Amino acid sequence: MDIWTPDSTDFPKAFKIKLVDFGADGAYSGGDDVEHELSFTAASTPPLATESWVSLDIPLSDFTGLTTRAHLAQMVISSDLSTVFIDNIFFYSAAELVPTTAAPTPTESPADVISLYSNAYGNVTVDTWSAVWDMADVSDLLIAGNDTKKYSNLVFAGLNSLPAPSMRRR
Amino acid sequence: MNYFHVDLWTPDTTALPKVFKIKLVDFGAGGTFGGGDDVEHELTFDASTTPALATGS
Repeated sequence: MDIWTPDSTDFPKAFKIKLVDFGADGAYSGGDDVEHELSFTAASTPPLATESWVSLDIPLSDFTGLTTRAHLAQMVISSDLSTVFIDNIFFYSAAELVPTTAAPTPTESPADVISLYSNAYGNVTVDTWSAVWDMADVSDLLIAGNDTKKYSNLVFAGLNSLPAPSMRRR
Repeated sequence: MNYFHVDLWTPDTTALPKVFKIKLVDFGAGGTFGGGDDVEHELTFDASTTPALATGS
């Protein structure tokens, strides 16, 4: 959100933003509403300023009390600045960071390895990289030409290989 | 076999108490889940373990 004010922003003048999620029932109240309010002043980063556009770019994780976000329904702005111009109010996803280089190529001798996943070795069969009972998503991609697994929304992931490759045979 | 190896990379902050855990499970002589002969162990890695979890590397 970008804001501009003609008023004095001397501390402790503040501009506040509250986000409210109405919870699973999607309606106000009902016991599942959560909210969090952040306060911006001349002492915060970026500082409030008079007659200058101030760009507030806020990680949603800063709204720590906003424990759910699936039913965001209300924003409350409050301030002791009586006049504020506002533009560019939006939510966004930052460009995702990915590795730019491949994981290092392992140097163990293939004769000494049972590999589940590596371009450096022949791999045993893995039945699932994300079991039905887990909480994770998995996808395949290339990082600098090297096959790589990406786990997202990861809480826990189950990788099953049945029948289990015998770890006793070597 | 006496070692397990995996390389991982995350864009997320790895500051404590963030952790990455690995659990290995052996299904025992039965070769299937359950049956009373399964054994398992889980290790936890964080910014204070060796090597330390790190962001973007």
